[in-house]
Amino acid sequence: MSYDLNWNSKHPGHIVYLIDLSGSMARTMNGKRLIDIVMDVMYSLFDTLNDEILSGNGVVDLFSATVIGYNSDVYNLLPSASAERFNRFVFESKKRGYLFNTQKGGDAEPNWQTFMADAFDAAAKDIREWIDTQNRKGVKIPAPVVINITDGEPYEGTGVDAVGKALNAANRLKSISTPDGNTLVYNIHFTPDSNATKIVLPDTPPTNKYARFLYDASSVIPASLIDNAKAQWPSSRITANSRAMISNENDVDSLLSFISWGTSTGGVDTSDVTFIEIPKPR
Amino acid sequence: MKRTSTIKSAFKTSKYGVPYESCADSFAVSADGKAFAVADGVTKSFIPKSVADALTAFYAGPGSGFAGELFAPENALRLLTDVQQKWESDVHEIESAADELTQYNLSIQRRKYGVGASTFAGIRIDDDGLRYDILGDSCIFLIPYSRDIPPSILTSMPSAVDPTQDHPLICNFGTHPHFLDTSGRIAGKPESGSVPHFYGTILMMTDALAEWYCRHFTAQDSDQATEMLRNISNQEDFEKLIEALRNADLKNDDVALLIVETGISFFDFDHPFGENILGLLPAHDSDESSSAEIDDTQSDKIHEDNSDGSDDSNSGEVDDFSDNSDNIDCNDKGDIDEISNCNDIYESSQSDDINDSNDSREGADLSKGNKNINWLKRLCSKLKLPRLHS
Repeated sequence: MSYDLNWNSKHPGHIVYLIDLSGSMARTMNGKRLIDIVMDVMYSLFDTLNDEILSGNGVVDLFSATVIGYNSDVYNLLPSASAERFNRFVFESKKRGYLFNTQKGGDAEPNWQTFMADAFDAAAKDIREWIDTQNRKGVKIPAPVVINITDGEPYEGTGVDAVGKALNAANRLKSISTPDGNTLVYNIHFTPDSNATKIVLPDTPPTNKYARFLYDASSVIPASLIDNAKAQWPSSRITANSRAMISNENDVDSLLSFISWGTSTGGVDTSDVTFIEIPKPR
Repeated sequence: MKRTSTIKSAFKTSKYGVPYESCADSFAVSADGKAFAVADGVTKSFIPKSVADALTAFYAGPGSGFAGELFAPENALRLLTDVQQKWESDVHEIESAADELTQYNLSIQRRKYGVGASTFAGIRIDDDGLRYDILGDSCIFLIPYSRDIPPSILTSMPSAVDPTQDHPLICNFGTHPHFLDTSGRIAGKPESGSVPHFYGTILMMTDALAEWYCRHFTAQDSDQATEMLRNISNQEDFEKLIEALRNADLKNDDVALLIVETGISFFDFDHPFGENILGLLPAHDSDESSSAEIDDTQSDKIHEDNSDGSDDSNSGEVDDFSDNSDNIDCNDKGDIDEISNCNDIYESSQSDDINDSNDSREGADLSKGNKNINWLKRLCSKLKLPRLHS
């Protein structure tokens, strides 16, 4: 569990982003829907990641990325894209003016409920396939990373223990191991509610039921990220036991910081990420 | 006294997963075999390969030539202008040929970096000694044939040699090395100087391999890392070695390596440097085997343009003297006449543009013959490196 195998072209990393597309993601914050804020955040990050893989007139095979959306269903919005495909995806996103279509009828339209267990299971399937592929290539495998962005607790209808299901699925996901370490799972709860108490990278279980769920569903922070976390969230008590989660986040810059910080697990430089809205096509 | 300088080998390879033609490291050897250069295009700059190629070409390419220190104002102006023009031309060519996606990618990098940049290390060898010009963390290591003489490291980064340490070569490979860029800037302080008397192996390397070399050059067994590099006989072996080292502890980066052997082809005791040379040459027991190490034919080839009136009949004295030098590798005689290939070396190094990788790759292989790679396996085993994949 060393988590010291940095991503590079010799042993690329793999990262999975899970994006909550439930109906509540249509709520607004400062006049903008949560889902559209999240997409702007993702675009800001992807723009920087794209810079990191460019080298002359080529692309360096630094990582592959998967984006999965989930509500009552699971959507492979960007299935296991190599660096080259990721580069083309960012280029085409810029041309069309969005990463994924969040409008009515689009592939990332917010709707329905929050089947988070299915999302974790989809991530696990994606990661197992990636590990198999890398094993066939005979390359070293950095611990995969999963970052889950949600605006609420798992919900699959009355009478279903969606939280328990999601926690079991998260634990299955976290148990997928590589010699570099188990799969790392980061969770952030993004909400327009500015009155709720923010919980940042706690090292003891929160008392709130849903915050506790996120705590249990999240990995312990890798040692290599602790100093950076302390610098990013100086007012929080961050220790070697801290879990990679934030609950009740209502600040866009902080949302971007958390996702960028998690993405930097493999050593990729995300320090330059700044919030930019995806440009609309001319 | 005649000083010999023999290009033993020169290789480069790209970081893992990146095509050879995108390697931003460069090397060049002048046609007369007296100027040698390596350069390391800065990864986080725009089209750095072009800058590195222009730098080595200026120093050792056809038509190159300058007096004094490379970074003296009058030379630096010429150099910067030359590099800038070559880079602009290459950028124009690359951008013109690019498809829509590549143009987008290039525009991002141009906006982000603006300029191309490179480090540099070069040496020129003549009868007066060795002159060097260095900018950044590309390094020149001087490894004397005599173990009585400590090695030297030439770089513009903070460095030192401490023979009392287990790892006597110390260099700070910082993340902000000195470099030259296409805005006409020379960042950091270049180092230029001369070494009047040096007889041994000169290893010129870009930073990744130089950093590895410093870590593996030990006072106790100083020859091991050096021999590992000296024994590389062709590009294939070089790439296998680099792969093995990367699987162990070599940073995944572009790598360039250029090895030059220096010596004397004969010795005149009346020469004013005679005493110094006596002091600098190895003091091993006599060994009758090596007198022919630098034979007349090869010496003539090496020095075909060197007509200083020295008397070849004195070579018998050299025989006596170089008998002491059991570190000179008799088996490398085949490589000694490689000066005649120097034009090829330069041409191949410079022609490795985006559309011409295979030729340059072959051309970079300066050595004759295809030695068995068992030596590599043995050395890897000694260093406890992962097994080589044949």
